[in-house]
Parts: sequence; C-alpha cells; structure tokens
Amino acid sequence: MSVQKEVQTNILNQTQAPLLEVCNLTKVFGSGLLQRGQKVALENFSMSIQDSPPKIISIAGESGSGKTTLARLVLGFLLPTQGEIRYQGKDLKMMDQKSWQIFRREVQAIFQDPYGVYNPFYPIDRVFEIVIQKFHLTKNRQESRRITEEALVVVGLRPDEILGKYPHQLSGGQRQRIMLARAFLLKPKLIIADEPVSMIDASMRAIILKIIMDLKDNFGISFLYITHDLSTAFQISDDIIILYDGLVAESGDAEIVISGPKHPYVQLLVESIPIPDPEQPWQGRIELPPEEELEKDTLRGCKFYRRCPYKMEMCLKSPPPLYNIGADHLAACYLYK
Amino acid sequence: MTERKQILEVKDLRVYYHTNRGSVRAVDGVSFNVQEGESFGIIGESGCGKSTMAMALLRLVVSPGTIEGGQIFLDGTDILTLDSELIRKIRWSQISFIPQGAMNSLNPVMRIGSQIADVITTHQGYQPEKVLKKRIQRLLSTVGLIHRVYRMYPHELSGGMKQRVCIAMAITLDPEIIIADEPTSALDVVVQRVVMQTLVDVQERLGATLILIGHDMGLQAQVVNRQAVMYAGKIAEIGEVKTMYKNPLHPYTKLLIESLPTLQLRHDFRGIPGLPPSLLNPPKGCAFSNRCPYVMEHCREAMPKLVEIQPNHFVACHLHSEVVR
Repeated sequence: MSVQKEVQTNILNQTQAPLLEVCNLTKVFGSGLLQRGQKVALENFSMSIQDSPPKIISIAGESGSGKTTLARLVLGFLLPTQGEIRYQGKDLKMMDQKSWQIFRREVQAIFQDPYGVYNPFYPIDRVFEIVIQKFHLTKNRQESRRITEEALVVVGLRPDEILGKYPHQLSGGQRQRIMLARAFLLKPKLIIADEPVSMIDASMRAIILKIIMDLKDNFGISFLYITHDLSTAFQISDDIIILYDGLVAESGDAEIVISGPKHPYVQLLVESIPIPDPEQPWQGRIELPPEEELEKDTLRGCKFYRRCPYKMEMCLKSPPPLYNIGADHLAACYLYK
Repeated sequence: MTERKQILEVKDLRVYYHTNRGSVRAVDGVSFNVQEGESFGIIGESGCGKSTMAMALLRLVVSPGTIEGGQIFLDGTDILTLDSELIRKIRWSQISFIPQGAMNSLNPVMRIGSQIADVITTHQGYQPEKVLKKRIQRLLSTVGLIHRVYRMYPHELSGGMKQRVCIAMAITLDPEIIIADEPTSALDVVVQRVVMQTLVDVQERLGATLILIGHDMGLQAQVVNRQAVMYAGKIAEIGEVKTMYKNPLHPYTKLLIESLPTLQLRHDFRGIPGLPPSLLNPPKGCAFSNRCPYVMEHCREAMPKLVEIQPNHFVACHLHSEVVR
C-alpha cells in the first residue's frame, strides 16, 4: 500500500503541476426568484502556489471582500459556481476517493476562532487522537504520544502543560498553537489559515506569526494566509493578493505592494493603518460617500469608483482588468492602462 | 495641562468577581485622573480588567461582580455613594458610553430614530415628535449619516454606520465624558479611521472628555493624549502618549510596543512569551514578573507602587522605583 502511494506521489511530482491552482473561480451566493438577491462573493479569481519553494501567500481585504469564501472553496467546503481548483493537477470536483484522502491530509486549515473549534467536553488530547486514528499515523499508543508531543514542541508548547487539560483551561494563544500542532501532525503541504491571529492579543500574535514562518522555513509548509490586517501580512508573507468586493485589486510581492501600493483602494487601505507612533498621525481626512454604503451593488464599472480620488469617465463603463505594472505586480485600475 | 480642571478622579478602585473558586480581582487598586477635554486611553490585553473598569465608571458592574472599594469622583461627587435613581440621571447626561459591539447594542425591532428619541424622552421628558425628529436628524448629520437613517432599522445599516449611530446616541445629551470601549474593534481599517475621525470631531465640538478603551497601541497612538497601560487588573504605566511611545518605562509597555508589526521592516517583531497570571490568586509580587526580561528577585516579593518618575509619567516597576530611591 505505502509503496504504491509513494510511486503515485513521485509521478505527480514529475509532472510539476503546481501544488494549488485556482482558475477563474467565481462564487455566487443565493438565487431566489428572478435571480434577485444574488451576491457575487468572488469573481474570476485565479492564483497558483508552486510545490517549492514554500511560500506564504496573503489574501487580504475587508469584510465582505470574498477572502473567507475563497478559503472555503479551496478547502472544498463550498462548490464553485464557475471555475476550477486543482490540487497537484487534479480538479477538486473530479477527485477520486484516494486523491481526496491525500488532499484532506495534505491541506489543513486553521480558523479564526480558537474558542469555537474545540469540543468543551473532551480534553485537548482528543484533537490529536482523532487525526491519528483517522489517518492511521501510528501503530501504538506510545508512538501516538510521541508524535503528539513532538508537534506541541514545534509550536512552542510544553506537552506536560497541555495534554490532559480541557479547552477552557487554556488561553486563546495556546489553543491556536494547538491547532497549528494538529495540522503539523499530518505533515501538510499547505495550510489555509483564515484570520488565525485576529482574536489573539498583540503580545501573543507575534509568537504565532513566528511559528507560521518557522513551519514554512523548516518544514516546507506553504500557507494561504487570509487576513484583514495588512501589517501582519506585510511581516510574514511572500506574496499578497488584495481583494475588493470579490475582485482582485492588486497583487504581487508583499513588500513591494504594501510599501508602494498602486491601486487607489490599496493606497487608502495602507494609509488607514494606525501607526503606533503619535508623531506620525493619520494624514488628512477621508470621507465615505454616504449613499455608497447603502447602494453598493448598482454599479457597472469599477466597484471602487465612488470612493476613488482619481475617478475617470472610463471607470464607469466596465470594470478594469488587471494590468501588469511590474515584475509579477498586477493592479486592476485604468490608471495603469 | 495642569491648568485644566480635573473632571474624573478614580481612587484605589477595586472591582472583584465572586466565583466558587474565590474572588477574581479584575480591577485591583486602580487610581488615575482625567482632565476636562482631554482624550485619555486605557489600554491592555484581554482579561486585564479594562472593560470592567469602563463598567465601573458607569456603575454598571453586574453580579457576580461588585465594586469592593475605592472612589470615583465625577466633578467632585463620589458616584459610588449616589443612590440608583441619581446615578440613572447622571448616566448619559454627564457620562455616556459607546459599547464595543454596536451590532448587538441596538434594538433590532426599533427604528434608529425612536431608539435615539428614547434617550431624550427618558431624560428630558416628553417632546413633540417634530422637535424630536429635527433634533435627531441634526445629530445624525453630526456623525456623518444621512437623514434617511432616522427611519431605518439596524439591519439596514453597515457596521460602521451602526457604530456611528451609537456615537450619535452617546452625544445626544451633550455629556461631559464619553467612554468608548473598543468602539472600532469589529470594523475594517478604513471604516475604523472614519469612525474614529467622527468620534474625535464630535468630542472636540462638544469639548467633552473622551476615555478610549482599547487593545490596539496603534489606534491609541493616533487618538489619545494620555494613556494608562493596564496589566492584570493594575495600572503599569500612565503618561503622555508622546513620551510613552518614545520612552516606555515599564517593560510591559516596551514589549507591547515592540510586539506590533510595523510597515517599515519585515520580519521585525517579537511577542511576549508566557501568560498573564490568574486574577484569582494574583502573585505576591509584580504581576508581570513571570514574563519580564528584566525581572529581579525583589520583583517576585513585593508589589511595585505607581510612582511619578518624570513629570506626569507614572510607572509601577521596581526598575524605576529604585532609581528614585
């Protein structure tokens, strides 16, 4: 059995298909009579993550921009309305059971709420026992204990302080690290982390982000880091994709995009981050056009039109495509036509 | 700074929550002053007692919590000694509150207009609807909302708009003090900026005092003049924001500032290892001693007192109190 599996993965590696490939993905929610009340959560989204080197790719955007929808689609929790998601060259929709098993093992998830993911009636150990059983990771109890402890050490926890405890006895930071340890146990190739630190205190946040970087550097795990916080994205990610209302606004190398944003929305977003230095106050004022908040969907052209300081006539006619504005740097704005 | 009138004075405030396993000392001997018209920040991580403090300032601590001791002087009167009828009158007219989750603090089955009207009629008695409507619409435009919001229900508004409705409600009766407990923690950065901008505008127009409670050092730096850093139910440091960020005295403040990811240098941040102590059985010495990189033997033995190290800059840390001695 195991030999067979190895051969299979070898063949896959030879073909050099990207680890994850997302093509023209669209997700529309709701239908109702006469197609009223439809919400396009994600539109025509494409990206790919190569098998190596491992990378941390951030998907950033405000609430309602479609970033969590993307995470759920990639994890197979939702079916796309249009488009394809391929893992190692295989379409998620067409996968046979065996490849699905491999996918389920190699792609792991960390969620936002470290309180909601635990069953309060069971000790923490069960989180590990379930995955070990499900994926037949070990032959006996001692070995299970050993690999569990190993995983906890990797995320900087002391096994004797964690095992045997119940979720309510642990802090949010500890719980989120346990989730990382659980994912690590399966030696995944990709972890989808949906806002993993947004509910964690600042002093702990940095520690969790460090662990994510360690897992990438030392264990070759790629991350899809979904966040609303550009400063953490800037700190840890290699590439970044910024969504606005279901569409990509700008994408490219995280350092280049955030230190010199080109899309007016991304510029506004970066400017609005409160800098922890009273000597660098927010510059100027921003106004949200009042009606925009109420009637967001009536627009045919660029979705950012009403808030944009550089609006042009052409912006109203059709949504701007992604223009190439540098090495792997794209922005969806007519300014760069 | 010193010429300003002192509007709020908190002295040795203690708020405990009583549980089966003992008392949780959520606010434990906190003292500070707030001057008229200033923006004062209270910052700390979850569980440090900052929200309990907000509730205590409004005398809204509910069971199993009780205010165990201390005094809160508002304009010279200790509000902890007032009877409940008097405190009801003070709330909202002198000291108002903007809650954390605006989404959950508005009544979903009442129009925005009637919710604000409630505040007015409760405190100022009956007013004809025409007058009320005009007044409320003026309030709504102060916070940048269109008049139509008057007739809308909360579910028709976005998060930022609901938060602004809460601001409008808080300033309805021209209070002297506005307490805002993490008013923007559920909002996107751009909306957060707009809401904070609104709040500061309104505060300046009214000449009110703002007490901003939060966990985001960045936001506090942008908005407040002076801040208190809370840790494990106690104040670690109080001072002017400008000096505190340049020269933090307490190791906790210093590490908290360093743990913030910046937009200048990549991979440049570190956290604070360890956990805050349980407030059920707080340690004998300094509460931060188990996480502090500069810990001395003395720290585990004795609780440091809040001492004024530089003018208007207080810190509770043995590293500094020794210097003074």
